Amino acid sequence: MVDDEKIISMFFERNQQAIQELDMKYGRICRSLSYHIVGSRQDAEECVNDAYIGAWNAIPPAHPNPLQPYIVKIVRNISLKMYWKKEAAKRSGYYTVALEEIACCLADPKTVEKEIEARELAHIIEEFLETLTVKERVIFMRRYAYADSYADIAKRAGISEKNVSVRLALTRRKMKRYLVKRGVFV
Amino acid sequence: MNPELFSEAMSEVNDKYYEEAAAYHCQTRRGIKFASFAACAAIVLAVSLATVWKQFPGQLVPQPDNNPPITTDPNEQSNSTEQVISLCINEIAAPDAVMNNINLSGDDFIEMSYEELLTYFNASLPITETLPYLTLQREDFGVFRSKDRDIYYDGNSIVFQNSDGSQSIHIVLSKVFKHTYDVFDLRENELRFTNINGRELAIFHYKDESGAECYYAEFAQGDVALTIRSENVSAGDYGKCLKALVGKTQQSGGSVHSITGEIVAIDPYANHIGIRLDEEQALEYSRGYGIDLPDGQSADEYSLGDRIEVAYTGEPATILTIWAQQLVEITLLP
Repeated sequence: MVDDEKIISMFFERNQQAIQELDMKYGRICRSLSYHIVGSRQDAEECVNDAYIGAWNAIPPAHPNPLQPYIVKIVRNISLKMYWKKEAAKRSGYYTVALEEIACCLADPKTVEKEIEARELAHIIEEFLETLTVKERVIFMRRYAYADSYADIAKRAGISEKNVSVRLALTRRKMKRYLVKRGVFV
Repeated sequence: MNPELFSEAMSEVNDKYYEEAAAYHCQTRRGIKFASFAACAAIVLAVSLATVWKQFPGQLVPQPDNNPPITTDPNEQSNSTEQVISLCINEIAAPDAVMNNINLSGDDFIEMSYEELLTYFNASLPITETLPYLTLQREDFGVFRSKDRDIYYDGNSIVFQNSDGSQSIHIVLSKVFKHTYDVFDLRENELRFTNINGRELAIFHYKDESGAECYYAEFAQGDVALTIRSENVSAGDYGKCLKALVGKTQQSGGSVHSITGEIVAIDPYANHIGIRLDEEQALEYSRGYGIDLPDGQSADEYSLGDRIEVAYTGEPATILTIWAQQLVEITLLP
């Protein structure tokens, strides 16, 4: 497998092999993530291709290091856009279930100051993530960033699906307390 | 805030969290189990158990003998054991027995009959009623009692065996000094539980050195520890035995239990901590619990004297020990 730096240099050289190498290295992760959000193989493929085009346009001047979270975030954002546009109404798929889980930790939009920005909330979430153990953090990220199923997380974390479910429930409860403390949730 | 904003924010969190989550894969590690914490404490070492076993063959290690078989009371037979139980098995390598050395003095040994033993433990062992091809072997039971320590050792091994000795159930009962096995090597990192009479127990399977198929489980019944090992008995029959032995409870599957206590032992090498339960939670001889910490948590994060609450699923997989795989959360208490 070609290392990240080599792939980046191909992007800088405008060598289209960069896309192929990127796909070989991270394509499976990207498709899986996108599929878990949009719930359709075809849409996932489209999102991943759009993400590659996005990366092609952004690098250079961007010089992402490391490359994986960079491309994963692009895929995630494009997939979320498609999700909100097309899929939310259907209330199906992994990501809908994950969002329904987390919704109970989030205040009703009418009752919370709407001024909070995603960036600011991200900082608060980062601070919250730092209060977790590595395993808790990984489980949380796999569920709500990568939109993994319980089964996938269980396999990765070496615990049962039931344990994943219990751990996530406790982490959500913790997050709710944390957000309340930070005045995000009223 | 709404889920959309949350989703958007999750896309904004630092790359390092994405990287960490992408790189993380559990490591199957050797599940080193400690003897019950209570068992490790405060017993003066002098004569090894191995020596004692030779001296008192009824204690812990089954010895072949020619005592006539004893059949337990058939009136205690329970029809409920007829139900087939599906066991969720944890495959392991053969466990090693705990070899704690205990200062057992032959002068302190008080012999007991089988009936007296069951009365002492307030136990019923309807194995013969459940599996009629097995009969009780031996009747040399007893406890060790001294003036200054009262009963200080009461581990007794009870063996039920078929006529040619090829199939057997070995039960060890203990209370003041909880008997357990020491090292478990899980084939997979996941710990599975089987619901027996409403209790979630970890059941293990392995092949011993002689090639015998063995099932094994440990559980506490009140203040009494039971270890149940089978040799060449089918999973179905082993399940029937457990069903006959395990007291019924109303525990719901998947529930999270918690205990609170003070940290009294830290072993950073085994990544293990020991706690003394708060008095109101503990039975007389079950105050010490061992907790194996999972990867990502370090025993060094704790200090002696810290008060903690431990949440876990299932029953302690081995006596008074919560395995890393069943640990849900440890919370430091003020």
